[in-house]
Amino acid sequence: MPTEDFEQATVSLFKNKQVQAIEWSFDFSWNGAVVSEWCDGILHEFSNRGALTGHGVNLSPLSARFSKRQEEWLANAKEEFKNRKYVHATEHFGFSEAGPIAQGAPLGVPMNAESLRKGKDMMKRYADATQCPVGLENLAFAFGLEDVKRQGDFIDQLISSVDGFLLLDVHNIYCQLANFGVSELELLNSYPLSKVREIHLSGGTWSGSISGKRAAVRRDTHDDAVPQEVFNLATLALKLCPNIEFVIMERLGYTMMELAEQQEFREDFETMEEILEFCYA
Amino acid sequence: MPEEEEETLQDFQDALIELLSSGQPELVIFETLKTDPRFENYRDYIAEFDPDMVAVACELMGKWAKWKEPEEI
Repeated sequence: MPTEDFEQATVSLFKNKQVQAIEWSFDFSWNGAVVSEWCDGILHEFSNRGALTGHGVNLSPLSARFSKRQEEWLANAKEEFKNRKYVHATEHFGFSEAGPIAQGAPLGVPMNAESLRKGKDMMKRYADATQCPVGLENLAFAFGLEDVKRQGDFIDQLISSVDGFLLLDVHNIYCQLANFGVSELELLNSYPLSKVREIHLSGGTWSGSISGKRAAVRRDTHDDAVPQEVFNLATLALKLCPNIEFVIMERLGYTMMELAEQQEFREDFETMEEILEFCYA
Repeated sequence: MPEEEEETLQDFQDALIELLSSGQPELVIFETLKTDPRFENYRDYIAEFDPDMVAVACELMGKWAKWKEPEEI
């Protein structure tokens, strides 16, 4: 996120050339949000270097109704990818637009033939607009255990239609492990691991359980340090997924206002560097 | 038949997102999902819903949802 706290936290990482690739949520600036000169310079540099990936947030690829807003979103994406060179483009599994809501957080869908048909159509539109490889990110949110069990295979069917790839978010996997008590290996193996081209790491928070079924609910809020469990999962994913090209750390803007939080982010980055060195040395 | 399925899925998503963003208490929403005739065609899917996750969905709607203009609905 191109916020001041993020710049303060990461400027030394860029200066020391520790950052080898970056990801840009390219639809962030379409709502009139200002991109700083510092951020724009970095985007330009990494794009020229062939080290910039694009991450869409608001397409809503599994909405049942194709809306005018989505049509405009795809037209904007087409323009964006024409003007700036990206290695690939990703979006989130799920739907966020329906009824009275234009956009929001993605939610799960009934994984039936109609959802599959709609999703395949949207992935094709996304690939046509960006003219580059496209992928889907696994969702942390699930309405229930069945959603958790079936998401991997359903994503595989969606991305196969465009020869696409999986963006494996390991904190999202951690959320489902914590919330549904499934086996780590069983859950990871339910995803098409050979199609993982990128992984995400982030932190999150815990919220209360209204049902009393669990002590707390793990949330993918991107506003805290990366927990050790997520580093462990990332290490496992690196061993299980033979085609990973990008490892991206995510953090929400304005969540590192304290110097200690910025230092913690840099330490997390360096921990991930060490893990990569360990896995690929 | 595909057209009918398409309309059914559209209606389901519309009703679901409308209910989750209604501002009603989470447990009321959870019970409504199980009884409201608008969800009749997805009764088996909804039977698997977890009340904690419905509460999370309600909170996500409250935090991130951007409403359409009346003429866009």
